[in-house]
Amino acid sequence: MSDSAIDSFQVVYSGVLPGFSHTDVRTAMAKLFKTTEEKAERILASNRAVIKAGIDQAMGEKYLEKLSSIGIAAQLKPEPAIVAITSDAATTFTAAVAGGGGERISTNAGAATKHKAEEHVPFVFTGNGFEYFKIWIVNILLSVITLGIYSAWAKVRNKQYFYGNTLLDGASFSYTANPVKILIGRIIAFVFFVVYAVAGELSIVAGIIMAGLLLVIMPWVICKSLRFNAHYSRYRNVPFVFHGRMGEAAMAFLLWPLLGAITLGILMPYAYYQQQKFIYNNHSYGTADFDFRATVGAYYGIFLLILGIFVVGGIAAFLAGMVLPPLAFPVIAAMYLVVFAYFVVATSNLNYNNIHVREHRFKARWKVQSYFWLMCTNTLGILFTLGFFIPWARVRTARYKARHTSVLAVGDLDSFAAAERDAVGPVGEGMGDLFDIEVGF
Amino acid sequence: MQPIAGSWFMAGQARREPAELAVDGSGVARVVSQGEGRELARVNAAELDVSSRLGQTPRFVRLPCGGVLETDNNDAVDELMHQWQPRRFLGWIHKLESHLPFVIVTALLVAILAWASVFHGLPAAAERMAHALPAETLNTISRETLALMDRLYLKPSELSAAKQAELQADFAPVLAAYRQLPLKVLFRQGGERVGANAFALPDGTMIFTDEIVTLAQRNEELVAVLAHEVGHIHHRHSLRAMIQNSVIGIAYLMVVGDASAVGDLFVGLPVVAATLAYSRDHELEADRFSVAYLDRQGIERQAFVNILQRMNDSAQCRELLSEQDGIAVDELSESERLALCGELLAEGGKSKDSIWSDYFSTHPAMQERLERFVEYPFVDR
Repeated sequence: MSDSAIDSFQVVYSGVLPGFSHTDVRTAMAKLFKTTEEKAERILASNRAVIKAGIDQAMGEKYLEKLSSIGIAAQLKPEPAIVAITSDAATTFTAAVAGGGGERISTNAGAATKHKAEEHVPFVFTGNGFEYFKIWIVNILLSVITLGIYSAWAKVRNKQYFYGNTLLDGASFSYTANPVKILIGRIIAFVFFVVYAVAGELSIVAGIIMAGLLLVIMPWVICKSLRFNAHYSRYRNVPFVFHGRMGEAAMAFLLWPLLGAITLGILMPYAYYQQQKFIYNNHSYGTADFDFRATVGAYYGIFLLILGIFVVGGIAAFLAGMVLPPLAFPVIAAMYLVVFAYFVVATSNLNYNNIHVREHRFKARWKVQSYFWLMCTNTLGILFTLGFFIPWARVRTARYKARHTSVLAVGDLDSFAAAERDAVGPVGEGMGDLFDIEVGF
Repeated sequence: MQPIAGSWFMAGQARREPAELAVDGSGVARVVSQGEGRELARVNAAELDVSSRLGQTPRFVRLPCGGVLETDNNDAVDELMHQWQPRRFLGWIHKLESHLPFVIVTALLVAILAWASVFHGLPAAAERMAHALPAETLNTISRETLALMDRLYLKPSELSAAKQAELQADFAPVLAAYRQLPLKVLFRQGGERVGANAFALPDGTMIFTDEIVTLAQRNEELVAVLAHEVGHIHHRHSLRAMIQNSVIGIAYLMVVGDASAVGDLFVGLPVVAATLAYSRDHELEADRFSVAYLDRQGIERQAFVNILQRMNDSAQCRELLSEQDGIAVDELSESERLALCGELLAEGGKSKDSIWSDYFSTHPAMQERLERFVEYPFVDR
């Protein structure tokens, strides 16, 4: 890690997370740190109190996670040169209302170069299941009674709900796509799908021809939708950009998987790595390019472990089947659930932790156990409510992702700027680009 | 009105500046920096582009210059919109979304609509569409399917010409009864993969395997199966299934959207369940068709039940034998297999394994289907 020289960190209070009540947070905090509510209140009332000092980075991250679970936003900062006003490191909690201790690293270059320290800026998700349920159900009703036309508007509202509720450093994301363009893209995709389905039913030869055509246009569709999505995703009035090319997409999504299949899977992790690289490396935030630094070895590690789980699970299922045949099924089901959770968690951590944007980078701390639990409860909820739990499931998943992901920022995020051609208002946006549509569903 | 506080971002710049937006009496909107009161932008209030309200998410007030004010003061923004852009104010969707009684009614409506369209609307529409399409559209796929199956699974029939002629003669009255359909029966050897079975292609071709012919004790049983297959063709089940399955797949995708956002493994399950329900409905419809024919011809309904039960037993027996060591299942004839199964089940009663395998291979749905078959009201027309 680039900051290994600094092994002493402090956790600095920065506010109560939205969606938590002040009194609840105070009670939870007093309980967590085994102190009185008055002392907790002093922290909450303070501007930037140091909650914990003299710890290493790993421990600091644990603190942040614990604090965000009870509704406290905090940041991890390197110990400043001047000794922080802390006392008694043995007790877990010292409230030192910071004077100089927790000052934000200032924007001017002189102060920033002094430390070049990474600051933890957590993602915060403020959405709530019931609120989203109301939006979701109205979306469905309007989509149904307009025979699907409203579904384009519904998509924008869905997406904007999750974007708008995702905060990073106090600013939210926004999704500014024009629903009409999404509708056009959906109509094209729908017509293609119907032709594809009908062709496949009427003649096997025609079906094969359509499947071939689908493969040929797939790289185009992938590039189009990634570009569309990036272009209409904004953070602090600066849009994201996707500049991947069709040739690269064809390599990543057709050639490498094909070679993977030919080599009986040996090259599959490599193909998967190429796809992730294609997606992340080709994004920019304004003029700042994403730099994706994952190496292929890590993906092989993940795939090998999954292979291991399958082997162990397969043996377990076989043994269980010997004892009592019906036992084999739950063992296999459990194995698939574990593999699914592990795959999502491991690849998310790997991908996020390797995205660098200028001097900033992402930090993901997803855990297999907690994600597994989230997945199981979501699945059961959806099954038992015949789908009505879906909005809550989505909100819970978004909250999980936000809680376990943050940005390690060096200095503030003020200096980003939109690329030249994007620095236009919504009026000029995308005018004249006939194919500026999102193809697909 | 009170100024609206928020964060101001200049066109294409991530730099945040605390700012306030205020509209004066003449409709001029000004964005000023908080504290200093420096003017950052000025525009006619009618030219503001305001994102629509969505729960408690922040609003984005976009100015023609490309600058944006992000604010969570939703009520003040609504008030501003109401006053200065009353025609563009599309707040009604948010009103629907936040009005609890409406949401409850909507939820009920969606549940009823989903149920009605999946189980009634869509099948009815698919039936009309299937009958509206010309029958010839199905010929190509039928020919190709048969050619493919002949190459991969089926072998030429080993039934004697005399046996085939005898069966065709027994089948003739059925085919004659539905002269408007281009029906014909072919025989093939099913082999390991297909076994004792009969199936219909959409163009009116029906295939009976040698194995099902051997399994039948009387030709009437095969006539009953034939009537069932004619039912599939008459009702255009394959075309209807295609329409229903495609439509429900797309509709579900549109409603549920991105599956990965749910973190749910079984997102596709409802579509699979609906597809299975459709195929079950089609089987029952073909069964009723068969019942009608049998009753009119004065053939015992039991004929159909008998052969289906025997097919079921045969499949189950194959499974049982394949679990035993040292038995080459495929080298035995059907009767040898059944005899062996009988011995196996008799000796030592039923072993623990066989009870469980019985439990899984006997689908209760089959039992229920056959009971229904016998209980349908008598058709005398």
